[in-house]
Amino acid sequence: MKVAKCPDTITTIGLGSCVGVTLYDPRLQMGGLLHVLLPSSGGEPVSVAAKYADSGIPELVNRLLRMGCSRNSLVAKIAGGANMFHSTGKSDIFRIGERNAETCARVLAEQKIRLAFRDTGGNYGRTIELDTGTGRLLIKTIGHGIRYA
Amino acid sequence: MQNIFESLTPAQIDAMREIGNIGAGNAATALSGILGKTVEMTVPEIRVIPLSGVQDILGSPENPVVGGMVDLTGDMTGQVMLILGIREAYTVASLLCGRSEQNDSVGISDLTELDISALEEVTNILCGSYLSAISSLSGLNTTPSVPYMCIDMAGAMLSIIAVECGKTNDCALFFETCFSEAEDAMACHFFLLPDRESYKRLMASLGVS
Repeated sequence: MKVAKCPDTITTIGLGSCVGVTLYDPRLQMGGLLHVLLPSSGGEPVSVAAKYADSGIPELVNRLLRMGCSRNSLVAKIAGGANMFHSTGKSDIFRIGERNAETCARVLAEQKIRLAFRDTGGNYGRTIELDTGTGRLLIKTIGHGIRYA
Repeated sequence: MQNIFESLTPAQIDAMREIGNIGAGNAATALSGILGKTVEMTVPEIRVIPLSGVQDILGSPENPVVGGMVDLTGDMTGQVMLILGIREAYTVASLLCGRSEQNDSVGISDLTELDISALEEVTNILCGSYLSAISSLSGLNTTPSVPYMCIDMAGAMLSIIAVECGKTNDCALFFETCFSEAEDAMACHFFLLPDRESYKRLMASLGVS
């Protein structure tokens, strides 16, 4: 979990089934990034809250609110949640990306944060960079191009 | 979360090393049989790596790599993952496909469908070899799924391992496996990811719990 102010850029490299959640407040040119590994801690005590969507997102929101951001102006963008290994397998591991992305979207809605952009799914990894000067999110892939959002 | 691997005793490490040696021996025999020439295989390193260290094994998380994953069912459940750098993948595939020309600047686009299929077979062979080593030492019978292949950023692939470990425990068993044929030597990374219960069962069956 990272937070930064203009002119810094925050990045996370090689998102597979993980989801990168970025929150940005254009008013203060300040933002945060969370690297979600799993959807939910399942109610168990958590050693690293940031690993899970259901505990990490509220923590990132609170951290930004404490820094002066307001809930109404925060804008969320999420990327990742791929299904790296093509399969029809019934094992949970093959659907973890999809579940991560769904849970992130749901938790953001519960937190009343506007989800402005979503690039999830597919079978390829992503590297993302949030520019805290502009709020622009850069998504890099291998063989699936570069996108800005 | 308790880290079950931290308490590995020398006897357990020896047991893992034995699995590695027998597994690599089986795999070398199988590959030599298919290819009709001698392929040697060694396991220079067996390690238990913490979740946070998984990302560092293959250098930059943005490096493209080839990964094969197999789902395990039976007495031991979990996953197996084989990861090779693009150059190593190309060389291993060349060995299987009988390609002789050298390519010093191999990229993702150089790997053909046939190469991927060959690597799938290598994943199959390695996985089966390690599993039968485990089975003969521990009596645990495990059935592997067909391998699932993927070419992408190392970080994205290793994060799958991190996810698996995050669910069950905080470490993975890592067997560095080296193929060599004539003077070519290629290292590949073999991860065994038993879930927590299976890991306990494995150690218990090996008589070293």
